[in-house]
Formats: sequence, structure tokens, C-alpha cells
Amino acid sequence: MTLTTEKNGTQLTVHLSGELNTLTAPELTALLDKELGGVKALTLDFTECDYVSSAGLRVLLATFKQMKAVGGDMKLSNVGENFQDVLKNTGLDAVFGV
Amino acid sequence: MKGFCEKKFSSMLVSGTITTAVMYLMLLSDSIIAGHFIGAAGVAGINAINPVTAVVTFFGDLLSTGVGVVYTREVGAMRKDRADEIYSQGLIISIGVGLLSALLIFAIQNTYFSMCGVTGEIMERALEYYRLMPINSFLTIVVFYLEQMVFSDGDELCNNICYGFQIGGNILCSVILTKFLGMKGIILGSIIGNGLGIVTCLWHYFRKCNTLHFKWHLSFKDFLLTSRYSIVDSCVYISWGIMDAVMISFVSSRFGEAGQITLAVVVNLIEFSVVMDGVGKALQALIGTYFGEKNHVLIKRVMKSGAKAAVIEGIVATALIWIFTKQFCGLFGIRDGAALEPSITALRIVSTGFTFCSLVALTTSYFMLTDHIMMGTSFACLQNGILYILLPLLGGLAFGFNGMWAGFVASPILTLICAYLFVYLRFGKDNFPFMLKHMDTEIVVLDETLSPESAAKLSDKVRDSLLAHQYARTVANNAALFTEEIGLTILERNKKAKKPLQIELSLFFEESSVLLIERDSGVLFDITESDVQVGELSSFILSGLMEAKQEKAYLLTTSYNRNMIRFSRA
Repeated sequence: MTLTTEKNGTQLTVHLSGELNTLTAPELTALLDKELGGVKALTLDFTECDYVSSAGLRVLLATFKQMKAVGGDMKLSNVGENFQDVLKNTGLDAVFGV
Repeated sequence: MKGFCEKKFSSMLVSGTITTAVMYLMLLSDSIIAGHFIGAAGVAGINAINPVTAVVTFFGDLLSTGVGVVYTREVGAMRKDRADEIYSQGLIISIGVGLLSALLIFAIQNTYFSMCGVTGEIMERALEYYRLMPINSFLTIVVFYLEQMVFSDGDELCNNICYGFQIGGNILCSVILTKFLGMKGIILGSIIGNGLGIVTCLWHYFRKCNTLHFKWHLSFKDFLLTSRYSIVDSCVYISWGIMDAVMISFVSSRFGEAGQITLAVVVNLIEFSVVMDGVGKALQALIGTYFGEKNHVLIKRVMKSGAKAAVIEGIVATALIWIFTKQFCGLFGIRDGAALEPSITALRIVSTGFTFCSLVALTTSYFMLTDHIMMGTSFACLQNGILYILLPLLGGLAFGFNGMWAGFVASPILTLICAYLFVYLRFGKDNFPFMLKHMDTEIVVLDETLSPESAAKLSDKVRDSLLAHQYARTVANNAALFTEEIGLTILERNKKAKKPLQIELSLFFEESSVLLIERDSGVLFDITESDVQVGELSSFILSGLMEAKQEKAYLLTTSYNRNMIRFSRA
């Protein structure tokens, strides 16, 4: 998986490309640990990432909690069909506002 | 690298070997104990009742082997109700035939002894042993059946413990009781051993891995169906009986009493070689399941493991006989004298054919398991009946005493050549040697030792496989997600597992859909159940995915979880 970032003050956008699974979720965790300091608005762009497993979802949920704890906001954008189905089936679409 | 099916085969090999040899071992132990505590008359008394024992063995085999084969095949095809019918009918018939045989054996006692020709002390010993034969025959037929079904249900632990009690119990009780009760004590030991075996088998019904459920069913058509598969093994015993009769006549006329003694030991060795059919027995449950699934990839894989095991078993058996030839002769009372050296030579010559005997047994088992029953029966009779008579006779006429034993070595070699030549000529080069061309579905098999990383790698392989077959990316991702979450859920459920977990996936690519069959060695649970307990995020997601899936099924198979999920192209 490839991760690219765009930072604009307190806004951070992370573009994911590839699969977010058990093998690649630690890479996302490491990136967010490094970049999230001082960020108030986080956007995760899934245009080029059409596969998210529970391992990836775990990272997203942990990050969501972390952002809420600092009064920030987190959005998931351009979510693909498979990931949308997972979010709908698990009721997490309401949590992430997808 | 040993995959899932190879590991399961290995774990069933010991059980399978003992299953084929249990009757032989029970009788052998009775003969040895009789020889030691009672004397030659005791051994001869047991031998005098051999035809009755042979008939009981025949029925025990006839009523059990075929049921095991058909049961695993129906489970493989996910037809559990049908499998239950086959099992239940087998149980009813085994108990019925067991009771009938007990009554008959009791009723024909006087007629049998008036015809069998034994007299004097041998007759007395035989009568004492025969007295409890009715009870023993009932228990033998029932325990045969239960052992076969517990084995087919994949519970080799219960099976091995059962054999331990059955054979060990028999030996221990026979040794103790013979001192007080003579010959009656020996057969009472067998009764106790068989009884303990039955009780142990009943334990299987209380275990989580049990899938044997009773439902009243009796059908003559189904009886014929299951009996067909038993014919291959059963005909071997009949062939040996005919071979024994012909060879006794030939040897006594050309080589006298000394030759007879050596022949008796050689025939015992040939009967001992039945243990090498254990490889085929160990494959039975697996090939039955894969045949029901039409999984030709795994049938071939497991057969390759079987062939390796058959060769190794044959070589080990040959080596053991060569090393312990004198001790083997000693079991039958040949410790010195004129008969010892010729017997040692004969045993060593005959045992060199064991590897080929092992391969023939595997081949005929495979023919039987893949519905080529006529072929299996024919080649079993060719080796054990026709060639085991013809080649020793020719060898004896041409090259004398040792030429006879060389004939026993040549028989399995010639049978193997004939069998594979027949397959090549009848079924063609493309279908050689497995004859599975009629199963033409494309199948991809993936197996791994389970870990979070390997679950993700398997998921990637499933996605790549579906994309390579022109499935839409959304479908491929869906299948990949199932794979990863199933793997992670299994790991979640097996946190306390001491042994590495194995997982095997078979992808059956059909015209408009792909069937994913998942097998794992973890704790038994049904992931397709709507109210399955959810622990972590992976099982939560999997539960949601399963809920949305229409075509899914779970069936516990040979003590492993087996899940089937279908993904349509559209």
C-alpha cells in the first residue's frame, strides 16, 4: 500500500492506494502517529483503496476516537462499494458519516 | 511442505493401519496365548474354528467398510440427511446381523464339529473356545462397525484409544483368565476386549466432533450400495482361503511335512501384510469427502502422500521381517529344528515383495473409493487368488522350494503392472493414472499455517485468483474479505491453541460462480450461524458479511470445520 499526505495547517489529507489489511494497517498506524500532532481535521481518501478489512477498520476506529478526544474531526471520502457494504453491515456508516 | 490434507492423512495413518489389522491381531494374540499357556492343542483348537471366525470377519467387514465410504462421500457433498440414513441403516443391520450370527453359531455347533474333523484333545479345546463364540461374534460385528464409523467421522483419538482397550484388554484379560478358565478364559478375554472397545466408541457420541446422528432408515437398495464397496476387502480373505487350500495340497505332495510348516508361517506372513492396507484405510475418509466435493486436486495430492506412505511402509515391513525373522518363526513355535532355516529363507524372500503388496493394496483401495469397484475387486483377486497360486506353483515346479516363495514376490509386481496398464489402455493417457477427467471443474487449492499475516496473504491470493478468472473487482474483494476475516476469526477463537492452526481453501471455478470451501483445524464452530458469538472486530465483520450472504453452508467433516460460500459472477 502507498500512502501520500497533504498537510494544510491543521488539515491533513491521507491518500491511500492499495489494500488496507492485516499486513498494511501497521503502515497507516505509523504514518498517523507521526503526522496527527496538531491536526484538527483529518480526511482519508479511499479513491485508490477499494479493500479494507477489520485490521484496517480497527486503525480507523482508533484514529476516530483519538480525533474526537482532541475535539477534531475525521472524514472518509470516496469510499468504494466493498468498504461501503462493510460499513453498512456493521452499522459503522453512521459513525463515520458515510 | 505438508499441507492440511497431508497432515490429516498422517494423523489417520496409525488408526487406519490398526483398523485393517485388528482382527488379525486379536486372533494372533489368542493363538500366542493359547500356545504359551495351553500348548499346541490350544493353538490347533483355535485354528479349527478359523472358518467360523473368517465368516464373522467377512460380515464385520461387509457391513462396515462400505458404510464408511458412502457416509464420507455424502458428507463431502453436503447431504447430511442422506449420510445419517446410511449410518443409521448400517447400525441397525450390524446389530441385527450380529444377533443373527450369534444365534446361528450357537445353533450349528454340533453340526460344525461333526464336519470339521477334529478329535481328541484338539476337539475339547475347540469346544471350550467355541462355547462363547456366539457372544463374541455379536460383539465383534458391532465393534467393527462402530470403529469404522468413529474413524470415518475423523475421531482418530477415540479410535486409537478404542484399539488400545480392545487389543490390550484382550491380551491382559486373556492372560489372567486363561490361568483359571483355560480356553474359555482366552475367548472371555476377547469378549471383554471387544466390550471395552464398544464402550470407548460410545465416548465419541458425547464429543463435540461427533456428527453421527441416528434416524430410522432401512432400504435394500442402500444395503446393496454400501455392500459393493466392501467386496474388494472381503474378496481378499476368500482368495487367501482358496490359495491356502491349493498350496497346502501342492506343498504336502512335493515337499512333505517340513514344507507344510514353512507354508503355514508364510501364509501367516501374507495375512500379516493386511496391515499395509492401512494406507488405503487412512485415505478413505479424505478421498470420500473430496470425491463428494468433486475436488480432484486434493484427491491427487492426498494419493501422492498415500503412495509415499505405502512405499515407506513396505520397506519398513520388509526390514523388520528381515531383522526379526527368527522371532516371527518363534511366534508359531518354530524355534529350532529342520524347519527353522527354510522358514527364515522363505519369510525373507516373501517379505521382499511387501512394498509392491502395499502399492497394490493402495491401488485397489483407490479403485474402490473412486467407484471402480469391479476393477478393485478384479485386481485384488488377481493378486491374492490367481497369481498367489499360479506363480508359486510355477516357481516351485521350475526352481524348487525357494522358487515357490519367489512366486509370491512376483505376484504383486505383476498385478501392479497389469493394473496400471489396464488403466492406461482403458482410460487413456490424459486420464492416467487417477481417472478423474470427468471432474473437469477448475480448482485452486491454497493452504497455510494460520497467522494474521498468512490470513492477509491468502486473502490476496483469493483476490488474484478471482481477478485472473475475469471476476469483477467488487466480487474478488468480497471473496478476499471473507477469507481474511475467516482467518482472523479462527485465530481469535483459538487463542489458547497449543498446536499451529492449519487452513485450507479450495476455489471451485464454475461457469457463473465460484465456490469457496474453507477447512480449518481450529475449535469447532459454525461461522454461518446467525447467532454465533462475536468477540472481536473480525468476527463482528464476518458475522455481518455472513448475514448478507445467501449461499453458505457449514458441515463438520472428519473432525474439521468445513464452510462453503458461493460468490456469483454477477
